[in-house]
Amino acid sequence: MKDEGLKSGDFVIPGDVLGVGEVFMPGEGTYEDEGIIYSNVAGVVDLDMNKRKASVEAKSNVPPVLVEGDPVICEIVDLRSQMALVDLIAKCGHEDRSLTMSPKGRIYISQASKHYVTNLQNEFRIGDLVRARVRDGRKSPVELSTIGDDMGVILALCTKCRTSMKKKDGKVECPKCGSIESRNMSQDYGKGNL
Amino acid sequence: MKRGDGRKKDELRNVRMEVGVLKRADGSAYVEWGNNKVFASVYGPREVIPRFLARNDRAILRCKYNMTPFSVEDRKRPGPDRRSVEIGKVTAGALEPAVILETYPNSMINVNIEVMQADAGTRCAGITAATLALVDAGIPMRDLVSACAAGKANDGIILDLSKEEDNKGQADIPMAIMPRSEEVTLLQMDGILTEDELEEALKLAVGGCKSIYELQKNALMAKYGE
Repeated sequence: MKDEGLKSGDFVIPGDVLGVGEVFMPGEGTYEDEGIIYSNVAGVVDLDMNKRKASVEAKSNVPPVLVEGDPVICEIVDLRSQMALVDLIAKCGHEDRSLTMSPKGRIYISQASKHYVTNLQNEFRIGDLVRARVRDGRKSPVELSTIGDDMGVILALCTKCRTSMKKKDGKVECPKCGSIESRNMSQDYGKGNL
Repeated sequence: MKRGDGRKKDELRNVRMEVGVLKRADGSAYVEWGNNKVFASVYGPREVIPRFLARNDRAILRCKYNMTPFSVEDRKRPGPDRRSVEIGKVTAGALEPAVILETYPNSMINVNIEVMQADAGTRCAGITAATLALVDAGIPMRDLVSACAAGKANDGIILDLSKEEDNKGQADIPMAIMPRSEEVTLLQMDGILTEDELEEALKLAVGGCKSIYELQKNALMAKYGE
C-alpha cells in the first residue's frame, strides 16, 4: 500500500506519507515512524516497485557527509614525522557548503603515496592545497589518503617566499626565487581543478 | 464582531512567503505577514563552537532572534535583550521536535531570524520562516512547523492579532504545531482567559497554523516543485 494517488516523480515535502513499511524499505530522504514511511526532505519521490524501496531525491542542497572514498580538498597545517595534519576545506562537488563535522584530518605516512616514503617533507609542505580521499569519515581527525594519480598536492607554496610554484620535470619550481622542491603532486597540479 | 482592520475573527492577515532568498546562506526564507517582514537564514550543520556544547549522538540547534533598530516605531537599541534571548530559546524549542538532529552528530545548526519590520506576531512569523529555511538548507525534518497566534481583544476571541489588538487586547496566545501530527511545539500565553475562552482560542490557533501550513507548502512548491 502506498499513499493514495502518490506516484514516482511527484513532489513531496517533509512529513508527507510515502507508503507503509510492509511494502517499502525506507531509502534516501525518508524516515519510518510506527510502520509508516515519510519524506524528510523536499524533493521528488521514487517508488521502486522492483526493489520495494521508497526514496526521495532532494531538490534542495543537502549537507555533505563524508563517507569512505569521498574526495576532499584540504590544506596542510602541520607536518610531523609520521603524519601530515590538515584542515578540511570542502568535499569535492560541494565546494559551496561547509562540512558537517570537525574540519580536522590527517594523512598517515603510509597513506601519503603508493611508493615508500622516508621523509614526509618531500611529499607535502605547510600551506599546500591537497586533494585527498577519505578512508574513515567517522574518526576525528578524519583519516585521509593521497594514494592515486588524481590525489596529492594541487597547489604548492614556496617554503622560502610563499609564491605559488610551477610544475617542472616532476618537481615544483618557484617562479620568483627559483627554489626547486619535491612534492607528491596530483596529475592535474596547477590547473585550478578542485 | 468587527475588527479594526475589517477582518473576520478567524481571518489571517495577508501572508507572503519566499524560499531561498539569501545567496550566501545554506538555507533561507522571507515571510511577510501583515506588516511583519522577517528573514530567516540557516547555516550548517557545521563544527560546534564552543566544542564542549557538542553532542556525540545528535546535532545541536541554536536560534538567534534579532530585531533591527528600525523595525519598530521607536528606535530599538541594537543587540540582544531579554526578549530576544527568550524568543530565540522558544524558537529553538519549537523547531527541535521537527528536525531529525540525530542525522548529524557532533555538529551545530544555526538559525538566524532577522525582523526587518515588526507589527505583532513576529515570533510566529520567525518560526514559520525558520522552518522554510531549514527545508531549503536540506536539513532532514519529520514535519514542517507552522505557527500562528490567537488572543482576546474587545472581549472577543480572535485569530492573528494585529499590533493594536495585541497592545490594547486582553490576551495573546502564540502557538506552533507540527501540522501532520498536530503536536504542539510552542504554546505561550500573555493575559487572562477563562477555560472556555482558552479552548476557543486554541481551536482558532490550530486552524490558523493549518492555513499557514498550506502557504508553506505552496512556497516550497513554488521554489522546488517545477
